[in-house]
Amino acid sequence: MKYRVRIAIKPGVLDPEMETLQRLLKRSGVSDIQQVVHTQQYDICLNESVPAEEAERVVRALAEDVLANPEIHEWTIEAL
Amino acid sequence: MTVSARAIAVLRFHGTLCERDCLAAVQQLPDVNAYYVSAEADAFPKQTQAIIVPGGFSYGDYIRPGAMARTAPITRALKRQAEAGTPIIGICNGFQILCEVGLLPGVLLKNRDGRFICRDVRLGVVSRRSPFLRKTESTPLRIPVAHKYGQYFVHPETYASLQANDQIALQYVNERGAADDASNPNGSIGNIAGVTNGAGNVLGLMPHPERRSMPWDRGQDGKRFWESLLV
Repeated sequence: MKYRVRIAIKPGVLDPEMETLQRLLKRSGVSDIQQVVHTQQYDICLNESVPAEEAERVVRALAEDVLANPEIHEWTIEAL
Repeated sequence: MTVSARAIAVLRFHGTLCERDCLAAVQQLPDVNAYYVSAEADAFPKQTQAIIVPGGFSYGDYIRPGAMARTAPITRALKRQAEAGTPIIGICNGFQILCEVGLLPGVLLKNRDGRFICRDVRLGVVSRRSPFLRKTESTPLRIPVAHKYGQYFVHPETYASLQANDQIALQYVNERGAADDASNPNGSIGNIAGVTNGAGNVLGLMPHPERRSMPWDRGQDGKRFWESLLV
């Protein structure tokens, strides 16, 4: 069983790396970019013997408790 | 809390770096018994009266600074100690850990300019509710920061509640004690350098008081944090 967790900075939280990237893109002549968001992606495989409900609970807890910080991140979980 | 704390635990995660400085800083004080506690332990020694979570790069800053500490066995014990009112201080990475495990509000983001900063800052003490700040009368304090992820961030509603509950402990200030933007090394909201939990017994700060504590250090302003415990 495989899940994909994607984590991104919430709108309104400063991401200096992406701000710099946008500034540099503008400087190099790419002027039409509105925003660049950096997303982290984790693919998590669980043993096939784990019931789907339990597997989702585990992945949700992992995303919420360790991979993301609810204060600054938003995340999605997708079953693959 | 007026009981002086002389049995002091210095917490050590894999990748903690500043534990020796912290141990030395408190051990120089009279009748203090300071000892390391491993993050792999399930509990603190019974006699523990105060806890230091030192700086460094716990678990290599994997995922985010402090994030992996949530999975360490000692974290549950740390939460129990916090609830019981034990004075706890988290310094730099220790502050990041306390935020990530939910003992303090907010999060430490990458510095405003994206760079690692290592230099002296001036600290104004806004609230002396933390047992580590009782003896910090004359300010500003001169203490160094050394971090890349030191930009304290909370959402506006949390910031308002920090102000209302007197949880803002330390601010970056100028030589006149004013919290202006030029004195803010990392872009922290409200120039915040340190905050406490609601009860006041848990303090987190980015600057390193243990690096201004010994006779050979360039200043001893940090020593007051440890002397505060003995008041």
